[in-house]
Amino acid sequence: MAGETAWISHYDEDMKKETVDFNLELDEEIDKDGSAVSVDIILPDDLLERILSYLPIASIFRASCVCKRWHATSERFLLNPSHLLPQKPWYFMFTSSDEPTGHAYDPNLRKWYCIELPFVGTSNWSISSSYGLVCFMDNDSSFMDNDSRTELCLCNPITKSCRKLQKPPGMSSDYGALAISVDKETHDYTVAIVKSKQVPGNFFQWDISIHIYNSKEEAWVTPLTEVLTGWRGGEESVICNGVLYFVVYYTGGVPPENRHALVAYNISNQFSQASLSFIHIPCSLTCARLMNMKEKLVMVGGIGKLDRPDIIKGIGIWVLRDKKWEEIVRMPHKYFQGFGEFDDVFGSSGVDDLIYIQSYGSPALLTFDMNIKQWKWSQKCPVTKKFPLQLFTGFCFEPRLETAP
Amino acid sequence: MAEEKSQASSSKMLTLKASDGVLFEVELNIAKEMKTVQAYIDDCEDIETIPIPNVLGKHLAIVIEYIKKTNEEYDAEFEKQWNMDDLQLLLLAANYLNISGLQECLCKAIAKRIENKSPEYVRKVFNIENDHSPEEEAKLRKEYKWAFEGVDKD
Repeated sequence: MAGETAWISHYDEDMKKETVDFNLELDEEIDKDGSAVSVDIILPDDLLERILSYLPIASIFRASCVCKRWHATSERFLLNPSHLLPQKPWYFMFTSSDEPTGHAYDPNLRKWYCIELPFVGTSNWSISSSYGLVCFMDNDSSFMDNDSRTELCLCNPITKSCRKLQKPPGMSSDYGALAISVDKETHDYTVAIVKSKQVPGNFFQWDISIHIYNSKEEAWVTPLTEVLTGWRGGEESVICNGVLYFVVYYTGGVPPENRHALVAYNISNQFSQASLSFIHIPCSLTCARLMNMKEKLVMVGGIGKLDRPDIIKGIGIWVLRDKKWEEIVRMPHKYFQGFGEFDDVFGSSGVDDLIYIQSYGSPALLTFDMNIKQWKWSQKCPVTKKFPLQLFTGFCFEPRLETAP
Repeated sequence: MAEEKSQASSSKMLTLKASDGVLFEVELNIAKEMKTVQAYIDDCEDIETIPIPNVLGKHLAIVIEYIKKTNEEYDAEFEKQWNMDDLQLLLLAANYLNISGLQECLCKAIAKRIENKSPEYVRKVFNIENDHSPEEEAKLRKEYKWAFEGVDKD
């Protein structure tokens, strides 16, 4: 039977102190003079933890500095982020073409951070990211027959841990597309590289080879080599739901339909002689960017003018459902114009519900939230264009501490 | 002071008595949103006045208002009116009275207020003593240097 005593809790003592203070006018800017906090409120640890669990990741890094207890709680949250609110993914923008330095945009706090990537490299990387890990492949070695300069490395941009991966065996290629997929439960990862090399002496034929690396076996396999006629692979690919998708480009002159097509290859079926299946692109595009959004394949495409299909007039976003494209949205004209000059090719990547789009000519960054169908410019990047031909590229990634290369 | 007109005799009214003696007459279904009060009623069926010894009248009024009005729009505007001390005291009240919706709303609101603040500000606001050694703290700040830049002024 709940007696009176159950109601007289341990708060009683503190309340006597607080009641007196509350007769004062509590100033809104209570911390202005910093001399004293007028009320001594002590929140119990479980409430403080709940407050912490609503913070964005960058704030939790700061929270770990507050005291030892908060450090322990922060570490726990950072290594088990399922206890935190879902975070919007960040976007890393290279601000120099020579060095791996740049700024990372955090849309949760609308802030740019100056972050250095943990390796030294040059420009022209193929980049793919998944669940906190970012994979880089150096494309520059493709012109050399000697494969020894092909660099492939995997890193976590937040923890700065980094690892060089052995390269896939085989020929050098004219084009290479990179994709990585991390298993959310086991943290094992799969890296796929699609190589395209023109068959010597034949303008229309291309040797395509798919190479798959599994972190558990630590080995490359080459489950598929095929010769395509009139089509070649490029540098755009993504793994989505166990399927490797890559964009192919028509090389045979005037295309029967569109200049681009999508190819799908089921990775999980590599032992059952799976072959490539072609999927049409919904309309004439100047450029196609693929991304895995919650295991759905999403494409951001530059829409070409009817009479001049190589000139971009707008941008559309599609999702692939049952091998058919469904249009999600077209970029409103005011945003398209907001970039200023827009080349026929542009950068775009995304994770979960957030898509980033940038024009290579400026550091302007636009986001599209698939969940609430909202377009929004990022905070202005603290980097300006230093010379007319400077290019800005970047990639979307999830800030996570719990995955390591 | 915050007495309300009695409804028709079919809806039972209860009186809640705040720590500073302020009385609130509320409908039974409103009072039941506070699981702590519900437990009290379950134990003492005929009770008409329930003491709430940990919560000031000022805050109990806000809590009752919240329960009556609660919807998404109200949530968004609700927390903007209160300063950090009030938010914390309201959270303590909501925790004690066991009202989960209000607890969540207040935790989110407090998190939002501190999300871009410095560790010094957070220590001040929550009355936390820094028990890191200077070396430990310097190490933490250095490890994720970028996280400590661009914070709001206190």
